[in-house]
Amino acid sequence: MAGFWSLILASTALACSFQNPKQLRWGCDEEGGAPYCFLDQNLQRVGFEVDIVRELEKKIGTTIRFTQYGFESLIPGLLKRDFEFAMNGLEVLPERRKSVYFCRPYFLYRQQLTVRKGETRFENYESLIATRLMKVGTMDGTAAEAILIRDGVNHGSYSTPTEAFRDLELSRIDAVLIDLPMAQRYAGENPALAPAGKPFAPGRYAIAVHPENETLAKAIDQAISDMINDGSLQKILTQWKLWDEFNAMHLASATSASDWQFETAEEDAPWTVSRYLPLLLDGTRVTLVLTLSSFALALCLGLGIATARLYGPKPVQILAVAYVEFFRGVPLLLLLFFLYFGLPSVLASIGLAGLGEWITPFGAAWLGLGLTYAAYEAEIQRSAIQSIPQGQWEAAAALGMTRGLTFRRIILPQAVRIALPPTTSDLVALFKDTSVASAITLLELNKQYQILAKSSLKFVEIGIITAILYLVLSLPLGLASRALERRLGAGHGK
Amino acid sequence: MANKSAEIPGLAIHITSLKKRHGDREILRGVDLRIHPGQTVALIGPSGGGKTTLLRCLNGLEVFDHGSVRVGDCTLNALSGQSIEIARIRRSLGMIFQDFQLFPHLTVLENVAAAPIWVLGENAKEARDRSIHLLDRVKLSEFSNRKPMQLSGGQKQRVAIARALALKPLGLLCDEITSALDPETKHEVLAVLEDLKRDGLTVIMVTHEIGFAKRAADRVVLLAEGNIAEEGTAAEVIDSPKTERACKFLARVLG
Repeated sequence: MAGFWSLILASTALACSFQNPKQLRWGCDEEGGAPYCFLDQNLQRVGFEVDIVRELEKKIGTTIRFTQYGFESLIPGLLKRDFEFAMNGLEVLPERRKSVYFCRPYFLYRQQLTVRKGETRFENYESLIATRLMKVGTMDGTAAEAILIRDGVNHGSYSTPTEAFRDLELSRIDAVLIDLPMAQRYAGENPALAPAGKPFAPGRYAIAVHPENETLAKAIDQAISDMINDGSLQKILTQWKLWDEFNAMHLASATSASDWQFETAEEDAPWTVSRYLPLLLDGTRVTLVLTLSSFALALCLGLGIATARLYGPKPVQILAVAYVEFFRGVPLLLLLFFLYFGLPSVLASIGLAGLGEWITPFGAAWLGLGLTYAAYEAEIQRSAIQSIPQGQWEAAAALGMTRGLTFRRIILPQAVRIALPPTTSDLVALFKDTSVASAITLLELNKQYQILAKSSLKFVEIGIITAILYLVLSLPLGLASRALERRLGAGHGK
Repeated sequence: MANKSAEIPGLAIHITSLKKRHGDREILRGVDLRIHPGQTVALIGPSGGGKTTLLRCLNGLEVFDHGSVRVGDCTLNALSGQSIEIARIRRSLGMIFQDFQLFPHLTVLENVAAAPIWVLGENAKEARDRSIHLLDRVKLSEFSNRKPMQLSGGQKQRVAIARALALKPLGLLCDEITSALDPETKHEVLAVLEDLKRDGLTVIMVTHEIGFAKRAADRVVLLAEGNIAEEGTAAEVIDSPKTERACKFLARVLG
């Protein structure tokens, strides 16, 4: 009876407080979101959260419209009021609780470690930490990621669980630490994978609401309570094979307050500069090494392609042109996805599965950036070589120099001076493009920024420090090459 | 220097019925010419007459369609591409270009020493010493460490001569080497050339300097429309030309 009255009250309150009382927007990421919210084979949106939302519609008396939003950006999106509430397996994390209001939990999750069947090097999370050698996959912006950062575990953060479990199967990582519902969904029926150890580190999933939207917060709190009391929530969770003993024992008494009985104090460590700066510096190191190594590849390959195009036999010339056009035309992001996620299966299908295991995030990023920038470098160097007058070739020939010797000693050194300014701007462009590698879980500077900013919600503070780190690297790059230009440029001309 | 001339045997050059087409245009229409060792030959004639092309056929910069060229004991035949013969000819026959074509990224000294080190395989010290000596000879040794762009036109051309001499050639091909120079600096270059003549080098020069040709050349060859219109001593060809073609050309250049 109380439920009925509160429902009347809630819908009246809603009617007063929203411009469109009949519609609420629900922020959620359906990409790889099983069993939370995802598209089934018939392209119908399904999932236990979809069912909960249907129930919410009934209890609050409004329609709820789905709004696709990147999982890692749900909290910022909510604060920007792109939707009225976020619900997508959002864990009640201490940093998040500072900026949004969490309603009453609708599910209690625990972390599950998943490994390849037959793993002998460790048997659970504790022994994995003890090895200090293992790489663990998880998802962007999750509680599991925070745990891995806290414990200093080498980890890769994926945007979907599918990719994480695939890389586990491909032996690119040693384990996946992820919320139990996802572990069950994605690894439960995979004969190659197995759970390691018992579920641990319990936490709460709750709907997040803008802190100023108290009316909606109260309405949702009430609706969730009603669903717990009338058994409709248990029914939904059971349908999705999510109802377990832990939820049976604790869900009815769980709140979103900070002093929940299972929460550990450690997770509440504040995000101070001394805590995140080492991680940013580590990302900076990766960015720098990736920039220099892939640029070296681009220079060598580019010179090869430029000479093939200028002096190769006709078919080789055509291949060189095709290379340049192809890699200039393909978006870098697409190329990196293909190299990292697609190439291993291509290699496996031609019997080179062993080779696929060697494609690390760094390796794929190095190759992708190198191949792409080789196309730009080839064009720069080709036009530089062509700009050297024919007379230089003839003068060298008249002195008895062979074509190869002339190219190395006379043409190339002059071409390098001409190619230097455009090559410099190419290097700076590549430096900035390394941030694309964050899409294939490489923990470079941009990725570290994303992880830290989303975990701490200090977008501005960490963002400024990250930008300074990028500048500190790119400015000397520019200055050094200008100095080099001056040095080499002196004495140029006939 | 003059007493050295006996030590350097000049190079004999035999050109036999040389023909060269460029698309539809016949540039050389069957040129026959015998040049004796140590001779200085001036090739004169109207533009487009084939002078430069003839010169470039001699060291393989230009492939010809018919006939043959013999330089010393090396023979080039029609349509022959890169070969050992060409490589040998290029070592014995230096070439100097109208627009210098010094290597801008190298110093003056490096320009001269480049071929001895890279082509002849001389050791760097020896090649440098010899190069300084050659630069001394063209009166440029104090410019050794400059880059070519810091030199005047006449200085550049003298470096180019030193560079050609660094391979110890027996002959020199000079392609309008004073055309890009102003009258004053021309003389620096021509003086060097006269000095070389005394060494006994065979010199073939394409030139518009009729006065210089008259003074320095043992023979003058007038090339017009791809044929030799007239040849002989400077006095014969320039002072008393026999053919109408030669008279017309000389009347125009001598004004």
